[in-house]
Amino acid sequence: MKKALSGPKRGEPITLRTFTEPAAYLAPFMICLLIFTVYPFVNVILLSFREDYSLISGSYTGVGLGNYTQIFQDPHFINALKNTGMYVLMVVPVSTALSLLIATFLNSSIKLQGLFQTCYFLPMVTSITAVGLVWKWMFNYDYGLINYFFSLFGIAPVNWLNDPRYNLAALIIYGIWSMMPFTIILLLSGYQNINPQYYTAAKVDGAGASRIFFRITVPLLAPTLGLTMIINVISASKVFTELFPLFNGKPGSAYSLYTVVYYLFDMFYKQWQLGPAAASAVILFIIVLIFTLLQLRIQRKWKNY
Amino acid sequence: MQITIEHLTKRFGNTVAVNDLSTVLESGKLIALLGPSGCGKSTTLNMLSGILSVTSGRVLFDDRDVTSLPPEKRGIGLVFQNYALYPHMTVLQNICFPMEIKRIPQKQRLARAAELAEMVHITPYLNRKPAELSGGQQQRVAIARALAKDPQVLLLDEPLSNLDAKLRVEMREEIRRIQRESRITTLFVTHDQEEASSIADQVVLLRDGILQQQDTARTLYEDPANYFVADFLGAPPINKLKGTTAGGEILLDGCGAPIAFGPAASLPDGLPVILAVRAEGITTVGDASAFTAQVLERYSLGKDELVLLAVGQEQQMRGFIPAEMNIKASDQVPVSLKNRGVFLFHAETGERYR
Repeated sequence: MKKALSGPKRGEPITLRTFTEPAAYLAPFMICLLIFTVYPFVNVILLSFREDYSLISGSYTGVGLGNYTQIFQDPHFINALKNTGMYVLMVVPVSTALSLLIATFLNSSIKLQGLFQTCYFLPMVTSITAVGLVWKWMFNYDYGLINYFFSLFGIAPVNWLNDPRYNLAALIIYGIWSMMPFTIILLLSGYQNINPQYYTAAKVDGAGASRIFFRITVPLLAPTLGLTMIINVISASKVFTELFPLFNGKPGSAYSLYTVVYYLFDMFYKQWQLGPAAASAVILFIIVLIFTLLQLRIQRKWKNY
Repeated sequence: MQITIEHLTKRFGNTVAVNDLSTVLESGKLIALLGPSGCGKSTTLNMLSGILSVTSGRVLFDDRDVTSLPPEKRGIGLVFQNYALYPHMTVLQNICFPMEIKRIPQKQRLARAAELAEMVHITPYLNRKPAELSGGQQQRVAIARALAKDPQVLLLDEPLSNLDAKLRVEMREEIRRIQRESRITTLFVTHDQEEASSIADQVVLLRDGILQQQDTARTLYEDPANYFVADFLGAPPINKLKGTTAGGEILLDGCGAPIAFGPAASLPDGLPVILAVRAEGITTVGDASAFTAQVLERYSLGKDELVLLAVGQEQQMRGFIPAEMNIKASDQVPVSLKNRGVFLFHAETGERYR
C-alpha cells in the first residue's frame, strides 16, 4: 500500500493524531489478542512456577520448580510423554505418506474424480466424536470390521479397545485416518503449483511413473510436504479428543494411555491441581516448539529452487 | 532423419486444427513451421513429438511409422516454449536426466554433458539452478537437455518467444549454429516471419491448419503461391491495391486509367483482383510510368527512405525510394512497377495469376 488514507504525509508535523488513528484501527484485534492469547499464555507460565497454588484463594506457598519436579515424578506424565511421542512418530509419517499417494492418485485424471475427492474429504467435515464412535464399532472385538478382515487372512482377532497392549495401536490407526483429509487438501494445493509441463518433459525424456514420482513430484512438493508435517506434528502432539469416543472418556482401557493434553485436562478439571497442569502445558509448548524449529530447519534445506 | 507427413489431420471437437497436411521435411535441415497464432503449427509439432495423438494420417521418420509411438520411443528431443527445466535440479542434472533414464554409465553421461555444455556455451553454469540463469541461458540448457538423448529429430516450440528482442536475434543465430554443428533435422515453430526467414533452410507456412507453401524463405517472398503467403511475409507489409480487370489490364478502384500488368492480359473482364506490390517493387524514376501518384508523407528509416503515396482517389501504398531523391510531401511522382515484387491475386480466393 503506497497511499494510505491517513498517516503522516511528507512534511506534515507529527502530532498525537499521527498515532491515535492507526491505534484505533488496530485496537479491536489487539485487545482480543491481549485478552484471549497473550494474557492466558503469560499467566500459565507464571502459574507453572507457583507451588501449591489454590484457585479459590489465589494463594501459593512459593515460587520454584516444584510443579515440574512433581510431574516428572508422576508415572502418568512419563507415560503421557511416551504415548504422545509414539503417536506423533507413527501418525505423522504414515499419514503423510498415505496422503501423498492419495493426492497423487486424485491429481491424475481418473474417472469419478469428484466422487473420490468428496469421500476423502468427508472426515474433515464430520464431527470427530461421531466418527470416533464409528471407529469404536470397527474396532469392536466380536463384530468389528477390522477383526473381520483379519479373520479373512486367518489372523486372530485383536481386542483393540479393551486390551491395554493394543490401545495405542487403535488410537494411532484412528489418528492416521483422521489426519489424512487435511493433509491431502494441502498436498493437492501443492500439486496445483507444479507446472504440468515438467511431467510432459519427463515423459518425453522417457521417465517411468515411479521415476517421475520420486525425481519430479516429491522434490517439487517438498516445501508443501514440510509445511504439512509441521502442522501435523503440532496437531498430533495435542492428541486428546480422539481418546473420548474410543475409550469412553478414559485414557485407555486400563488408564495406561495418557497423552500430554489428557494429563493436563485430568490434572486441571479432575484433580484441581492447577500448578502441575500449567507445568505440563509449558512442557508441551516446549516440545512442540523444538519440533517446529527442527522442521523449519529441515524445510529450509528442502526448499531447493 | 527425413520426416514424412501423410494426410495428417487433428480435430478438437468440431474445430479442425490441422487439415490433411502432407509434406516431406528433408534430413539435416533447419525447418521453420510458420503461421499466425491458431494456424495449427504447435499442434503439428506436438503430433510429431507424440504428445498429441493424430486424428488421422501418418508420420514417418525415414521409413519408420511413428504415428502411434509414445514420445519417448520416437527418438526426438523437445524444447518447450517456457523451457520446462526441472527447477530443483542443477543445469548438469537437467542435462543428465534423460541419459540417466537411458541407463548410460555415469562417466559417459558426464562426458557427454560436458560436451553439450561446451557446444551451447553454458559450461560455467553447470552447477547452477535454472532460476539463477537468464532466459537465453535457460534456452541453451533446454537445447542441451533435448540433445542429450542423441535424438534423430529436434523439435522446438516457439523457442524464442520468451526472450527480449535483442536476445532473440542472438539466440536464433545460436540455434542456427547448434543445428549446423549437430546436423540434426530440426523443426521449430514460430509466428515471426523474420525469425523463420532469417535462419531456416525451409519454411513451412500454415494457415487454418492447411499448408500454404513450403520452400526457402526467399522463394516464399519472391514467388508466393497465393495472396496469404504474399501478405504474411515481408515488412513493411505488401501493398494491396484493389481493382478489376478490364481489357487485359487492371483498373484500380478510384483510378481513371487502367494499368498494364503481364498476368492480367489473359484474364476475362470484370474479375475482382488485388494487385499486391512490395514496397521495393516500384520505381519513381523513368519514363514508362504505370500511373502518377501524390506523395502524402516521407519517412526516413535510416538506410531507406519510405514514401506514402495516394493511388487514385481511394487507395494508398508505401514504397522505397533512393535516399538522394528529392521528393517531398504533396509532390506528384510517376510510379512504375518492377518485374519483381508485384503479384496479381483474385480478390476473394487469393489465387495467384501468373
